[in-house]
Amino acid sequence: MQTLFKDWGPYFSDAISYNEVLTPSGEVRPHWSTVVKNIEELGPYELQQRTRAIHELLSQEGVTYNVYGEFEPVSKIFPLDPIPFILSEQEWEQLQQGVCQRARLLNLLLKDIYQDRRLIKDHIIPPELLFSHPGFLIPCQQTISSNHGLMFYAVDLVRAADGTFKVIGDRTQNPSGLGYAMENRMVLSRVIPSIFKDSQIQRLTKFFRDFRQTLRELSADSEDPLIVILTPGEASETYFEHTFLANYFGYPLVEANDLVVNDQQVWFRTLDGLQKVHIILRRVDDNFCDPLELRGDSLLGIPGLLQCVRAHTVTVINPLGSGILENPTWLSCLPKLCQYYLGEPLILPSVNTHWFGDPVSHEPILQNLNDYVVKSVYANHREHFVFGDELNRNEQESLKVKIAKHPYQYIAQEKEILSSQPVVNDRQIESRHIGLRCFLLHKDNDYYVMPGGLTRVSPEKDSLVISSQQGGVSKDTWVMTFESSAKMSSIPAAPVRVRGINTVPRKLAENFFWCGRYTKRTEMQLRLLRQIEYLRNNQEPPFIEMEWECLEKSRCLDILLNVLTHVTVTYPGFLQPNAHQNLDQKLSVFFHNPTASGTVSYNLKSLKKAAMSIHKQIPGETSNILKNLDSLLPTAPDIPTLHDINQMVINLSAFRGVCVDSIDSGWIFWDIGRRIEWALNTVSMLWAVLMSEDIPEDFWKILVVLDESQAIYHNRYLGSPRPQNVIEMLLRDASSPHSVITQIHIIQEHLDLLKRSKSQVIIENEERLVLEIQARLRIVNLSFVGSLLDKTSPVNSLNRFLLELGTLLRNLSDALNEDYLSHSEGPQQI
Amino acid sequence: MKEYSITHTTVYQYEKDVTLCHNEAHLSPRPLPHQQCLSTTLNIIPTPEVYEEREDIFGNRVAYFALQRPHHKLEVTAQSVLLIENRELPQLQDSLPWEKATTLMQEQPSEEMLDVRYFTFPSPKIQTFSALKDYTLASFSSNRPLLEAVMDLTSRIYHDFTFDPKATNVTTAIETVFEKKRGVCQDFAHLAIGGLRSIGLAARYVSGYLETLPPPGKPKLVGSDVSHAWISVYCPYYGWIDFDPTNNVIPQNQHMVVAWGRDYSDITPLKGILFGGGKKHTLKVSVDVRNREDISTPQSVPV
Repeated sequence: MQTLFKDWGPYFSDAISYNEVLTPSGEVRPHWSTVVKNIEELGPYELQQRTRAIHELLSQEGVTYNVYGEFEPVSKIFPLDPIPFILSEQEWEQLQQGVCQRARLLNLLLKDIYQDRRLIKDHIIPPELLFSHPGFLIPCQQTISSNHGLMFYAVDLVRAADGTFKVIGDRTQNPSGLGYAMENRMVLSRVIPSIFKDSQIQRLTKFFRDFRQTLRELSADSEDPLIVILTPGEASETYFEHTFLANYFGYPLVEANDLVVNDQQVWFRTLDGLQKVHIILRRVDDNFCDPLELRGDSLLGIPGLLQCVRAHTVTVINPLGSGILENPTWLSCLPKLCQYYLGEPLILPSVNTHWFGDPVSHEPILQNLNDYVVKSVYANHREHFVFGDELNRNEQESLKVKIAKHPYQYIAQEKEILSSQPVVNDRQIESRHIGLRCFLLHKDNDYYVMPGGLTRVSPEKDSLVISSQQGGVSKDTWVMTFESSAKMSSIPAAPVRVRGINTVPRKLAENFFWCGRYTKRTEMQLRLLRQIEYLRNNQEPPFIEMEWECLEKSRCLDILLNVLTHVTVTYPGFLQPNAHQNLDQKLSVFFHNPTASGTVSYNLKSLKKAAMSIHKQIPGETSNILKNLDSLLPTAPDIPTLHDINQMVINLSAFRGVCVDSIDSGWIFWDIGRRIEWALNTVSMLWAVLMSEDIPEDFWKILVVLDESQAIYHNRYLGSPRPQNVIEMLLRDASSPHSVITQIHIIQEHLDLLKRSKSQVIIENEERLVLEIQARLRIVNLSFVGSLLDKTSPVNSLNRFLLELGTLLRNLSDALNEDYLSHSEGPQQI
Repeated sequence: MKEYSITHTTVYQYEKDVTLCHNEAHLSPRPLPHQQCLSTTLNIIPTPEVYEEREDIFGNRVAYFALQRPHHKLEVTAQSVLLIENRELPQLQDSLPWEKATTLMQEQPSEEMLDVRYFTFPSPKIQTFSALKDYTLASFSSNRPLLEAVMDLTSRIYHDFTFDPKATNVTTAIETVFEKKRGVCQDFAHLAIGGLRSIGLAARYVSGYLETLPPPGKPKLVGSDVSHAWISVYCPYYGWIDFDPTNNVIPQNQHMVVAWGRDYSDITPLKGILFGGGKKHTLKVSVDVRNREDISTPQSVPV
């Protein structure tokens, strides 16, 4: 049997870093022995398999982290290593005291910064330290009290070569990682339960329960406060975590547009009207939270929020302005500050930090830049640092010039050799450096640490950089306990209050709406492509009527290709002269280009994105269906076979079916979106057809097939499809489930339902538009259509009518957006 | 002693209805040793649903107000009556050498000095740059009395730069002003402050009004004034001394102070965030400064 851990001894005895698992003499540390045994029992092959299984599960659950790419953020799986990071109970006890003291200290510091600034008056720090830092926000003066100060705090720790823990940074405005830490525990215990065997591990759930309880009790004027999580949106780095925490705690996840300030009070716009918000757990940075008083160009904030904080009608966690504590310069004077505020020595040291704004000699540091990491005190991007030893001589010199110019803006931190930990790489175990983020909660006038945390691992063996932006796996973090597991067992969580179904946030409603639109759009587009494929292969479309036959296939194909260009708005497309040559190549682009709107792959991508945003509301199998759809699209430049296109259409129907059967409160928006798309598509298709010259009679058969209305036509009319009948059926036959007028009727029914649930706002625009569309459809004169083939002017008037109809439908979509979905008009500065 | 009555009106007209707007105004003059505020009112049409006043970190008076019903026009009128004492001109050449002032500010631990240091750093609208520092140092020769050097600097700005309301707007960076050599009072104030801060001095931005005199024999036109901005420099033993680079004067009794801060962004007279309103809006600002004596003495028509 291959052994994993025995091969490590020699590897680690070379290392200068602290070895988390083995003692210097090569023995397994006692608190690791059980896990090492469990991993040995699994063996290398199984460990590799489980690692894959973990990845699979993370991918299914959508545990991602958005990495800033060149153009737009790229979503990556937030990977998890199967081997946990373990802390013994004694280690934890010590660490706990240190981080709690630090949290108490920072809380007092924060309050002082925004009140009397005693620390400056008493000469504890030079005023520059605070005043030169852009994170010190003057509108926040007098808005922070100690009870509602640093409610939730995260601290980044590393273990130095001598085994002591040191702090390298503080996360105070909107700490991230709590959700990933919990997700890691859940995934690991599901995939490798055996690894937990015989270990007494402290649970994380109590911290989450306390968190919820504490927030609940924060609100002075409500027994049942409305707590929301404010996210910058799905492009933000840790969006997964925002959704995770919202689900876990049962708090609505909102964006700035979902909230509004009225009467110095924050309100949540729901379909039921406005609801008072008591607590905002924000994931938006300080400066972006209120465009009135902070950054005026921010679209992520709520105008007037700070005024509400002043009026004590809402609690923001953490309070606005708390980002000032993330200034790494504080690390250089914390021992002094600890004596000053708490009258006791600082328990937990920070990494040696030197501020170039201090009036002391900087030479010892500038001479030895190789041993330091130089950081900017205010990083717009969190990861703003440079390792001295990675710079050449010239680069070091220019760094020194920069420091000399703006000394207040830089610090140097002594480079620590971080402790090492094993990670699984294929069937091997390799060594990596680690950093630990711990989470603390302010409760009953003190701080409590979650027994665990988020352990992150350097991306490369020798790298000392711990950054999710730069890659590297994470680890579940275990804190051992001597207490029996029975005592630690989970107590059922307090029941989460269930809110009414009409409290769908506007953003979610919008996602439903677009999911509905893309479902229909993709479906109609694929049907069109299917017809094109039939004709291209010189096959008869699947007519059900024996006497129907398409004789002028090539002309019909030309028209269909033009229709495709019009309907998908991919001009010039097939409208150019000779556009129908090299059809394979051109259709291939049409299938594969994911960045050009209107292509199949673009529509599929958009559908998937919309479905992702509502994935908690629709059954898991939808994600399989969408995966099937993806796999049916061959790799470029191949175009799918007729069979594959058929399969894609079937999969889309299945997707639609699952949605119809299971969408709960957002269903109405999904269906409205789908029906608007349907009506729009039919109108623009018909318009595109009439734009063509010399429409052969056969084409009307194809149009009927395209609309999947053969049976409907057959039930109403005799013989081969005639233009007037087809147009009548497509547009205003109220008994046909496919007609435009039917879609509008159903939208009207939905609107009636919504109006009933909406207590305050009167719907005007949508109703007016719906009535107008219905009226115009009813009165339009279609009797001239028989003479269509004569190419007389009435066709033009019909075409004009269709154009106007299209505009009305788009206006209807806009009006819905305005009244129910996200505001199309954002806030503007004057 | 002079008594002024000031009317400052701002009118926004929107293309479409504004459904909600939140605003912040720094329009009420702060009382000062040389400036008594006899009355001040802020009249807002339509009447705001919410109106709150407070003092900001610099001691200025700030008003927050919100209009929560649809409106297509917002009219804000600030009316104040001020009693202004004549400030003695400081003896410029008696002030201490400017280098000494910078070290004093660093070393002297008085509470006043600590607060002063807040005004020595770059602020949202004032970033320093080396060309500006060089420009400044031309006035600050070694051991020159601080106030004399400041007077020289503001005077050079007055001569080297052209007053041109079309050249800049509120978002123009001071680098651009420096390159174009054109701008308005706000730009010149920012520039002077940036220069002074670049050599370690403390300077703040002052907003307010200026009494303008009509040409001899002509009556003064209503609304012909504008809101104004100048600077204040900290000089040990003298305190804060105002300079007006746009007019090349040291304010005595024709400058009415409303507020001060690190730069324009701290004390913008009126700003807001609105919802709706369409894409276009028009803005009309009129300021009228009346010397009370002017009002009581009817214009005599020459016979």
